[in-house]
Amino acid sequence: MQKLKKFLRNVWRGVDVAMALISPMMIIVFIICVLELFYRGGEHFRLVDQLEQIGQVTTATIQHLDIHGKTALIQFSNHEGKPEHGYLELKYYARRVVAGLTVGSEVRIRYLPEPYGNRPVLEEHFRQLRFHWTFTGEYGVLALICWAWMVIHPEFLYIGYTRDFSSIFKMELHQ
Amino acid sequence: MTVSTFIAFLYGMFLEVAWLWDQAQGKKFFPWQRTPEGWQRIPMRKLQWAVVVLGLGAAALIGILEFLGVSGASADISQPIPFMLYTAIGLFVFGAGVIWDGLLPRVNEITILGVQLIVMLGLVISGGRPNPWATTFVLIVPAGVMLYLVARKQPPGMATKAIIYLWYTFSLILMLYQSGFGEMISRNTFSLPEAFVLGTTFIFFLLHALFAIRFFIIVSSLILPRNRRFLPIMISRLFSDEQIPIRRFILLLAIVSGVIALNAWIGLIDTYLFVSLSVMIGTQVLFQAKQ
Repeated sequence: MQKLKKFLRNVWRGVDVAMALISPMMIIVFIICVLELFYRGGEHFRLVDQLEQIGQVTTATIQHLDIHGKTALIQFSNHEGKPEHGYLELKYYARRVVAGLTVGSEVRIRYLPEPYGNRPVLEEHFRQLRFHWTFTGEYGVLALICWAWMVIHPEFLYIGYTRDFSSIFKMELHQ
Repeated sequence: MTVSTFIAFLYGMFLEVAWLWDQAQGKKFFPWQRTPEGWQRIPMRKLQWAVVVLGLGAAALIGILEFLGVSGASADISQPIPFMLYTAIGLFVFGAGVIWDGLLPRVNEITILGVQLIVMLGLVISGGRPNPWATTFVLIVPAGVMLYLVARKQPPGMATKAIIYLWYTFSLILMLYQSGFGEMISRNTFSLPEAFVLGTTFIFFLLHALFAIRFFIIVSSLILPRNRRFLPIMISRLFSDEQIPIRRFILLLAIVSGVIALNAWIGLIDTYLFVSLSVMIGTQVLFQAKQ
């Protein structure tokens, strides 16, 4: 029993040291993820703002549905009366909303006029779009993992703040 | 950007890095200082000479390009030389914000209160659409807390200082978001003063934004009690307990607010850019903590 305890303690110590050594990489990955999230968030909120301010509302016909690709090809007439095609991003909507869409059916959409590219969304669910955090995606999950990792081993975050960097690890060892 | 505005932008960045470097070393950047006897000249050092010589060089180069009629040529990131320069700047800023601490100016409660008030003023004057919740959460409530701490005249504890500093960096990020800094950077047309100011504020805000990410993890790692013993190492370098007199603060804030309002009225420089410049000068000169 004692040997097992000692073995497990050594395994845990090995894992702990490995986590500490990998933590600088986690800092870099976390920063890249956060920068990407800022970029995506900026794009998302800018789109919502633009749709709110200059968006046009019209009726569109669904021409093709790609449930797996989470897009729907639609056709509509723009405010000048010219026909336009666009892709509805279905990731924003609940399953029951997507299930209600069929090829050939008509939907109310909000789109951006030229030169912004039309970027259509369903008018009925536009209000919920602002708080739809799908843009975080895999980067959000990765950032969360890195964050948890660094909460356990934040030592490398203090690099540059002490000349005697080994003292931080000494503190750790004497704990 | 055109070649001329790119040169002004680069020089603005160099000036700001030199200024931050000097402050971090506890030296006076400007070649004069205030003593009880009045203003006094300080002998210029190599770095200050470099700032002056490069400034004159940049001005001369812009003049020559104007004379040759090629100052309007494009200098964007897709070209080799701007690409290499942007990459070098990016790596430098990343290192300075994430690995090294040498360029961040020390702050105190008054600096942070000043920055928050200037950012709020900028949001009001610009007539933009600040999100009322974000503004209240990130600016108004913390500004009230800062006002209380300034009035109390007692230095806050380590953990409080860490949270205050984190909030300060969040205020700066909010300002970047509200002012559409990213869009401003990708704009094609700048006047020379705008490009220069953009260069200086770009370095200041990017450093703080990158540091904010690092500092967020540090503050959140305090959840585990074993991590709290590292904090004093960092906070003593970021936060100063020295305060400037409250009357001087109010006077300076009134002057800064007046100048921001005047600029918005005249329309000399883009309002957001001017507010960014005021935040930078407020942190580094007007409400500056002792280094």
